[in-house]
Amino acid sequence: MPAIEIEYHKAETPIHRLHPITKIIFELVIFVIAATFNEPLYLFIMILVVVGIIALAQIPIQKFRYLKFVGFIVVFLIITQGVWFTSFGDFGGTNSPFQWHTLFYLYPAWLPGGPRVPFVLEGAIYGLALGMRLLVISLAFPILVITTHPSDLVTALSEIRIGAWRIPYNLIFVFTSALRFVPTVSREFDHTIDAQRSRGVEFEGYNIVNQVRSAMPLFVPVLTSSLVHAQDLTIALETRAFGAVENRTFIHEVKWGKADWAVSILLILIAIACILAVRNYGLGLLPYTPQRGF
Amino acid sequence: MSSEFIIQAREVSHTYAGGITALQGVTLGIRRNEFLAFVGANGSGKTTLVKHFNGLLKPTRGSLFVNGIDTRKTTVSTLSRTVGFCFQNPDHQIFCYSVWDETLFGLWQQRIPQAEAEERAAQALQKVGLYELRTRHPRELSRGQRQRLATASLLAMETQVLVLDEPTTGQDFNSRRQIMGLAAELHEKGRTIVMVTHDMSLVAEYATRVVAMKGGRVLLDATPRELFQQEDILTATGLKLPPALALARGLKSAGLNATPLTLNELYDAIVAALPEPAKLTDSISYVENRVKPCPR
Repeated sequence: MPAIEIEYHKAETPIHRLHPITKIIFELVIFVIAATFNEPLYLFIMILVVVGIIALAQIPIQKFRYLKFVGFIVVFLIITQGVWFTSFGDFGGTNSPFQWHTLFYLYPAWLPGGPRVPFVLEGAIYGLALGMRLLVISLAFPILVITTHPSDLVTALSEIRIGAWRIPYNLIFVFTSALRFVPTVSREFDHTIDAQRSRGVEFEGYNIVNQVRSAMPLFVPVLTSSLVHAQDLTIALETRAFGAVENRTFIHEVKWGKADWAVSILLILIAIACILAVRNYGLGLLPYTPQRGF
Repeated sequence: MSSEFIIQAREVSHTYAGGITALQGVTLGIRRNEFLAFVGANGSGKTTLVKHFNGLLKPTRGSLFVNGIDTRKTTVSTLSRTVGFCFQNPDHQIFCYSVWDETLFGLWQQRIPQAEAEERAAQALQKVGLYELRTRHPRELSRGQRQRLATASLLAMETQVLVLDEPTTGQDFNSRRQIMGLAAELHEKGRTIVMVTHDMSLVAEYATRVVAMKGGRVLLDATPRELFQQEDILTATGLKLPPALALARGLKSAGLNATPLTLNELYDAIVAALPEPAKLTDSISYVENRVKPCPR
């Protein structure tokens, strides 16, 4: 069973040296660009770029074992979009009458009343595009957490200020400890699965009844031990006088350097260029989708 | 496939998905009705190896047979009828609303008739001293009690092989004796017990065979007595002598030459080594002058 291992991984790379805020900007820019394009080719180029950045940050490939599950979702999206895409009717904005390509029928012609439920090529492509958006985002998201030391992230977030207002430290702590808990809970799941399998619970197979029946022995221990963990954490925090001082200071500071200016401005320019390309020239858009000319 | 071995590992290597190699070519046969202890420092591969015994992990190289069945060709739930596995942390398995249901759960999984299941569950709970608490919610129990509950729910399944991973961690003397007494009782009834532990007195007292591991390899496969006679193995694996033996080592300079495993054996050895009463006073002063503080 693969664990979700989104944890800080120490290495000396240009990506690790960047300011956490720069990396947050990077994630936001990836979200925006992934949302603007819906042509698989453009999204594929994005995936290549993100993979290049991952390679530059020397993140071990084992951290991405969770992509197996993303793969399932992509397949699910392709199938559902292939079947249901055209049933939403008129797509305004497509100028020429569009010819759908039916690949096959889920309810074949030789059955009485068939053929029904066409599987449409354009829908499958749109499904693929949605899946690739998901893939880009799920590839890019761990980069921030894996290449940033948790305390640097806390420091960077607490330095954000608008006038006299800062993000409350409690809120930052909630955010970072939530990130910190993802691998912990994932490990709890693995241990619980092991323990229950040893008692004869079946998690394998596609039997829906079995799957539902095995949910209880899996989720109850994970949930209770997560709550116990959380309670332990509050006790540990209180013994260290969490929240005793209004303005928390940090022993270690993160610096915003020239590279951060350059990378952030470049990223924002790329995002604007992509939006303009889509808006004014229709680049990176499938011709039969409603986004055209937004 | 000889039926002599209930578990047979042939050149088993295991590399985790993270790239860490935890086992390197372990070949080992466990006979029926053995009481086998795995010892070794943390990270020596003990737990990884025993997790192969019920198929939770499959060998990445080599093969492992349980009762003549290749673990790669079967499921954990099938193997759970032969090999019972008790984990270190009971909180990973406890989920029912009462101690009673928790003990019955494993039996329901194996489709054991209700009447028989209830009888077995009652017996198992009585043995670990939790029968009076059977209507309680498991979360109301203390950590040690929950550990015993997990052990009881495993014992009720009456499997041929019992794997105990650190069975006595966090237990007081009485509970430790209850759990180990239970294991010894099952061993007498012909079951095979496999135990992973750091507690050398458990090894000395109960095990019939001990396997010392280091760096994913078997360093020594012998009886406990043979293990404790090999100082170099003990230092290599970072193990501590059981108290009786440590005391005997301390008395070596006073002329005690024995390898007692339990306090009773130590007592016998001392009595046997005692000189005639007439010489006793001489001996005592001799010992007083000679005995140096026991190392460790």
